[in-house]
Amino acid sequence: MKKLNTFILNYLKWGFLGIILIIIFQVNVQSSEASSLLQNVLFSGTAIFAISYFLSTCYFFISLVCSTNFRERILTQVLRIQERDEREQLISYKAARLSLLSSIAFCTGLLFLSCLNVNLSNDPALAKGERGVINFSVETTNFLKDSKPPTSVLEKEKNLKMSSTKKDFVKYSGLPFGDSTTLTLILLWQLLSYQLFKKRMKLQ
Amino acid sequence: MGKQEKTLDIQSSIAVFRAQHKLTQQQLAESVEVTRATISAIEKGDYNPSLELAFKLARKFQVKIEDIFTAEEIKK
Repeated sequence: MKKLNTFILNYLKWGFLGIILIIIFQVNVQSSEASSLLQNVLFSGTAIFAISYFLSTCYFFISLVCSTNFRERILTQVLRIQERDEREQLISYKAARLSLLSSIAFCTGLLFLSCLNVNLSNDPALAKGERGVINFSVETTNFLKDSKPPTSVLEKEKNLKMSSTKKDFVKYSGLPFGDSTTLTLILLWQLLSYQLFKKRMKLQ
Repeated sequence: MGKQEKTLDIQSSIAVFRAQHKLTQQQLAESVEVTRATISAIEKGDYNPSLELAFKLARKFQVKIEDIFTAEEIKK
């Protein structure tokens, strides 16, 4: 298993160069009109390579999630976790603790932002003395796929839409990121915060 | 106002013993199986070693732990 993992790792590492070469090759093939037998053979070869590379990538990510030893081996290298003696273990523990706490705080903040709706608009057609509408709300239905805002909010929006003079100054509805962006942000946050706290621990 | 907290300020004389035994930080670190940075941190007072490491150091210099490490009570 360990040998297979090492082989897959090396294949992914060095194969990335091959992927770049495939892209260059594909561009050249598409631009040239004449297709020879050699080109067809090369095309089949690169297709097999690309499929095997994709399957290796799948294996890599599944192993990363499921295998403790593999995860330990890869992530300690990525995070540059050094635990050569008791002092470094203590630094690592403290940095990991601070990183975990800050990550939880960060995730909580993101969750709050994903539920927050803010609407600040100016509407002269409203009743006398009222120039605009400020609307703050927290959506708790964002967890459901077919979530709909509460009826009262829908009615308010309908009323606001009816007045043509309405002008939105601020309209913020939920976190303006896709799911993958949010996940990337959380991962980056964890990586950076761990390195930062580790450095700080070493300086103390 | 509040209660004054008492803490122990642990000081080590590893540097003195190391000089007596004509050892470098690296040599001492290798003999007690830690990194050079750890020996440096202990000498500066930035890190308090574990009991296990303290015993290892004491055995290395053939002295008692109290001869290397002294604890002074300080009020915060």
